[in-house]
Amino acid sequence: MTNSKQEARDLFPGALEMMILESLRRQPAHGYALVQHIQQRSNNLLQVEEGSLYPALQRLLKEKLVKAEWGISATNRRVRIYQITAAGMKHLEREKSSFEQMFEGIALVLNPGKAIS
Amino acid sequence: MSWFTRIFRRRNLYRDLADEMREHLEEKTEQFMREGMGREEAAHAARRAFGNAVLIEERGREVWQSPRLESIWADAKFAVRQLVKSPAFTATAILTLALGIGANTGIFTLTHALLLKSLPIPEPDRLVRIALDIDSPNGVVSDQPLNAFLLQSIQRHTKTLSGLFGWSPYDFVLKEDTGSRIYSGAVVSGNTFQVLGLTPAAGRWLTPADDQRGGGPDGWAAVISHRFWQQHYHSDASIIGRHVTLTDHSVTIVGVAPKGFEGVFVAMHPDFYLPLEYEPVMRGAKSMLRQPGGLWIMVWARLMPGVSQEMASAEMRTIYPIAVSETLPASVRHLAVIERSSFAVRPGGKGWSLLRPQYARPLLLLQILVGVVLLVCCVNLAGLCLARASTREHEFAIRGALGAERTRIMQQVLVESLLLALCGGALAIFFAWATDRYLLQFLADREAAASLSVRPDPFTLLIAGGCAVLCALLFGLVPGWLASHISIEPALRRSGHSIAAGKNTVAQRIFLPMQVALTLALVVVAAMLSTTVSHLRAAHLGFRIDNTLLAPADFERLPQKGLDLAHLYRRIILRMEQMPGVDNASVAVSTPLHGMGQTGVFTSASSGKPAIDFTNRYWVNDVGAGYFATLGTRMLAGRDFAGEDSDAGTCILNRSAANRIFPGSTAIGQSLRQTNRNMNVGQITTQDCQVIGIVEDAKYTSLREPAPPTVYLPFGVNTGSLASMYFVIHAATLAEARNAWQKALHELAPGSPETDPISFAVQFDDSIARERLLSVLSGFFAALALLLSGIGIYGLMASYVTQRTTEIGVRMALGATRGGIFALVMRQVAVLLVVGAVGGGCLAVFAAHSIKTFLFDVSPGNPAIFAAAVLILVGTGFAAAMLPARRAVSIEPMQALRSE
Repeated sequence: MTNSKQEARDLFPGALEMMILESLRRQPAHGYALVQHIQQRSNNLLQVEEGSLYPALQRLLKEKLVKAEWGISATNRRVRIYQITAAGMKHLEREKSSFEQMFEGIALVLNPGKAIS
Repeated sequence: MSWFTRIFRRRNLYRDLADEMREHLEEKTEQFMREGMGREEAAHAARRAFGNAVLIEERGREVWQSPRLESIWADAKFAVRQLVKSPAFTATAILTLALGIGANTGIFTLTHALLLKSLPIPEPDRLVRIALDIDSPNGVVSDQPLNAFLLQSIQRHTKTLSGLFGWSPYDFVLKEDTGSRIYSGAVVSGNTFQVLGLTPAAGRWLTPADDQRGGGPDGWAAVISHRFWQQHYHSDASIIGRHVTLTDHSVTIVGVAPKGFEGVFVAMHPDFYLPLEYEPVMRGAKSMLRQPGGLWIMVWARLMPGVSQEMASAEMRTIYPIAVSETLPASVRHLAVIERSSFAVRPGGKGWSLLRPQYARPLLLLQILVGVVLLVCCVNLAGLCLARASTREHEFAIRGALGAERTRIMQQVLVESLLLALCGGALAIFFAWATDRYLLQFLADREAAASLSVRPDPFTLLIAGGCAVLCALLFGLVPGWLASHISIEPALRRSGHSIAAGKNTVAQRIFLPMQVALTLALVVVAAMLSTTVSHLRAAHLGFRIDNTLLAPADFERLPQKGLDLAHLYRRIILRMEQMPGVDNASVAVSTPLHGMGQTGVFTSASSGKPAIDFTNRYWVNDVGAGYFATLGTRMLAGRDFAGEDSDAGTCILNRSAANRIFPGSTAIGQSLRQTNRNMNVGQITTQDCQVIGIVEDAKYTSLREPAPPTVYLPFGVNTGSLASMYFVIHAATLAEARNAWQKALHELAPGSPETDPISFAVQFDDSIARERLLSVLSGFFAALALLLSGIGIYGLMASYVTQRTTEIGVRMALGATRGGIFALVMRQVAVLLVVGAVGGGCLAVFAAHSIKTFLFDVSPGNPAIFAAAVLILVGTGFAAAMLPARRAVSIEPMQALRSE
């Protein structure tokens, strides 16, 4: 519990949103499915506090990067399904490339001996 | 999604969020149950995995909110609840603010209308006025008009000004089906409206082609005001080209001025604009247009691009001697008064008004006074808010303990102040409106008062709003700062109600003497101004003002001229004197205290000394027989005019004129020589008359000036202003006087326009209108400040007694007498009052000296006034402290100690 909280806080700002957008790019999903997806894809390395997804989804909704609609899930449950918008796609591309640059930079600093190029 | 719709869609957004979170938890619970957990356990585990649902939902909602705005909104709602809970405080605060802000808004609106408002024309700041400043030995007379010759001369020579135009207000008589009525208007240069840069609402403007001898292409062209167009022609555009009879001649309406344009003279509302060349048509032989010596046209112009007002002014000073030599005959040109005078260029974009020089300084003084009143209001409210803040210390401490930031607590106090101030400001607009209605009655010029539009408009709202915000900051900052800097722990440890907020009391004790000091200064100023009015009222006039009617004659269009007209006047006087109730009646060219009068150059005919302008200049009035009896001016020697043609060649002097012209000898029977210089052609004429009587000195143009040496000539000899003299009627009642005047006029001069007679008492009041205005208002403001100080002292002492209840109980248990306790409380007040009075005294000395020019017969250091003001203030202070002191005295020691 303490551990998962720690992980969640250590995510840099925008990371959760990026992961949500990436998941939604593959296929539309509702909140519960999104959490499951992110945890599985990260091999459970990222223990995201499940609820923290929702403020992030609200932010994305506000920025019109995703849209939401109520529907019925495969398990016959009333769910709110999120879909990525065109603006969300663009945003995701931008974020991913800047994230990759940042990651590369951090990697270089942490491992000064191994130049990537 | 716009900010606005978001607020309304928020409810749905929140519901969606809550729903999906609930669904999520259920799905998770079912998942755990599928993994073999019991329902309870599964639900618990799901919640644990989810995190703090309440907090998460709050975060989710926050995404849609703008936190600063929301918190202010929440503060406002809380503030309303707090204010409703203490209605006495709220009502006091709002009323205080409404009076303070209302007074400021009212005065400022008037100041704006009279002094600051720009003309509704493009680029008003490039419009200038060229005036003549006459430097006479009696002082500089500035802002005098020019004439057509000077206008043309300047036009020929100037390189800094373009589009010069002349403007002279003129009243026209319009012949309507129902009779003749007088409308105000102006004769203007042909290019006037092009220079102003306005578009007519209909038709066309006057053009230079209209301003020709004999009229333009449309005959005499006239432009009418938008108001006149609406009221008389219902905005019908087809009236363009219509002919109307204006002052006995047919003119063609060629255009309509735009809505809201009221000419370049403030507080006048012209309905007709005609070319300057129409003036000689109307006035005939008395026309001034071709006289180089008259001064009657106000000249305006636009600064050329890149030229400053100073540059234009400098050029005008060099043009002045050229213009004078081009227009005036040599014998006049070299008079010292002409050589020393000069043109001046003044800003013209705000128009011009005679009221301006009269009211600029009084309005400034009032503005300062109301500013001080507002300051007193704010200081008072700051004190009240502090007292309130100290009773709410516990609340602030709890909020602080729960993690509220200092700025957040301060914001709450400020929002509360702002709310109060805005309520006060809203109420203030009504006060301002009422104030202005009342204030305008004081303007001596009744027509101007009626036309100065002072209504609650966006501008007034802006001023009231600005004042409110300023007030809120002034009285909210200190309590806000103190509230946000409460040391939480000790405040919480104290029980909820027994408070001894040391810091706040100290702050209150600084505010109170400040308030007392400002109030004292206001009271002293008010006392001096009201003493001025009572001194003016008590001044020895040399005439009586009760039951006397002044009726202006308008005999311009009667067939009788010259001597015949003089005979008509005499017949009307005799007729009026036969009417019931009328004691005496007479006529005069000028009536006292009207603000205007004639002067003439007089010497003793036997002295043989040449007459010099200014040193031998005296006030002069042409009067009929019985003038002195009507006004109650005593005859000291000799006799009155006989009321016959034989009066020509005689004159009457007042005592000081007799003493100055004929020093050391009896004036009666001596010969007085009047010297006239015709400014148009430079010719000098003299006229001798025999002194037949001496009367007592009487005030002439102004109440403030000592009664001047005056020469009285028999009316009818000088025919210049014979058609527009004043009847002076003294009767048992004003109604009888009015009646007599109307009857006699209808009988003997039927068809001459009926004018509005005015009672002498009203003319007297009008002549001290400024002083009365200042006296009444400063008195009101001082009373307001006194009331506020009283409230402040009461509030402070009440909280003092509350805080010291226990202490007083102990003192009484130990044997202190009720008298001793009473003295204890009063000593506190006395200290505050002494500190305030000393500070206020210094302030008042300074204030009294700066209003010296407004005073009459009152020394700014008058000790009696200072003593009275201090006495009033001290009395108010002790009276306000009486109630808390009585409460202190009635404290039961046992009860006070038990409650601890």
